[in-house]
Amino acid sequence: MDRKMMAKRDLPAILGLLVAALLAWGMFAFFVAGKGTYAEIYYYGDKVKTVNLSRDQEFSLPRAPQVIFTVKHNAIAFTYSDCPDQVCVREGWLSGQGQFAACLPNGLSLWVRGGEDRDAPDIVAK
Amino acid sequence: MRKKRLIIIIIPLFVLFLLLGKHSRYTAEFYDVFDTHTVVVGYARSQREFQKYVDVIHSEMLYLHRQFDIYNDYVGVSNLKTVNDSAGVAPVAVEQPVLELLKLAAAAYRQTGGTVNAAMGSVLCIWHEYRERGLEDGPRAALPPMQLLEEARLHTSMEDVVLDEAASTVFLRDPRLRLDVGAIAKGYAVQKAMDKAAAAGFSSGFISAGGNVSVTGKPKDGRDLWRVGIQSPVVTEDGSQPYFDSVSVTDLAVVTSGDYQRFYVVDGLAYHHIIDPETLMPADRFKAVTVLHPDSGIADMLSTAAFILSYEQGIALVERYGANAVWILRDDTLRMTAGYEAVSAINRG
Repeated sequence: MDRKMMAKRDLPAILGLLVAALLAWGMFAFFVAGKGTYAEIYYYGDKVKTVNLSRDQEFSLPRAPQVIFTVKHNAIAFTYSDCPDQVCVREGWLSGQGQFAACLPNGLSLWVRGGEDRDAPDIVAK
Repeated sequence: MRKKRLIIIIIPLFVLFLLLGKHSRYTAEFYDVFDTHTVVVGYARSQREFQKYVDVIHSEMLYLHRQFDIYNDYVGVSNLKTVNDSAGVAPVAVEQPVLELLKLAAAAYRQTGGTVNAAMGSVLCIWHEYRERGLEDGPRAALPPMQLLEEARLHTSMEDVVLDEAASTVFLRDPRLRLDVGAIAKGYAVQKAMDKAAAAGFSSGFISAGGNVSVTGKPKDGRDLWRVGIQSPVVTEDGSQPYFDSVSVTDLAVVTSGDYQRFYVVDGLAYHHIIDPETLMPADRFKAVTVLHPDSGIADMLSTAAFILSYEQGIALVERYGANAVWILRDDTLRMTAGYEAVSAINRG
């Protein structure tokens, strides 16, 4: 009367899980990353927003209304910030995989990810 | 029947075994050290393992940030601000990192003919003040009067910085002398943090402290080397500033000194923060210089020196340290050492 560890009838459940996982990944890939590059915004180290770069837009985060991001022509930039040094705004438009910029006083960092560039850098020295 | 059962057990166990040994890539960042955005990326078997490395790196950098801070006092800490505040008065007992950094600063001063000068604080703080004011009130931005700068220069001699290693003290003989270690402190701190992280087991990843990059080991995605992009100092017409090159390297620090990050504008001209001790003005020979060297503190020092010195003097210095570098001239042309070209992506089609 031993119960088998894994019976044939478990197979559909396992396959179902696999398909669901693949679907979830596929949806992410298609809607967000599938179109190539996308951007991520971090607030003091926590990822708070993923941005689709194929849609032009201008926005700020509710927690940091004094910083404005703009997406245009598949690129993203800090276009306004109340910080004194303006290092973030001066970084200009980011569009290449691996590019990043940060606004220190506001605890925000902006990264471009995804895309199929096999030669994209891991980090940019500046 | 037996064989089927075995396979059903073995395959999941095998997959589990693979997953447990699998390294994933993790990222962390912090904003509270060296007035800069610091990123740590690495491969580890778990988030918890990676967090261990991040904690080691962060706590070391925070400790050194406080030791080398010239603007803030910390309760119970004798740091560079404490030393500056006691200039002309008395020696100050300091901890090992301050002594070590100042010894490096003394060596850098000798090796660079005074170009990298940690005793230039009195000149730099005037520029700092004018730059802050200029950023705050653009229309009223002004250059510091040369007379003021020249007068401050009279108090910038490293000979007046007296280190007593036995007593672990620093004494500034000149009451107007101020230490400013901006040219070497960040690179030095990154190196120390990397060393401590390596001792804790960090074997694949990098730290970027505001673009001062140090990479270690092999990325665990099949590659042997990390790709470090080099930021272009030139802002293109459409407002983007991409990387103009990338180097494939490991166990190396990549540090840039340039005119494009920290500056303020006076009458339409940009004045950045790397001051030439001879002219007392921002150095303007190059748009940027990037140095490659296994030690991040040395790379930081060399990049500042090579940005200020002439190309001939700079390349001689870089070669003396066994380092490599690329210079971006004012006309956007490049000069590079052979060793830099060997790891560069330029001309590789």
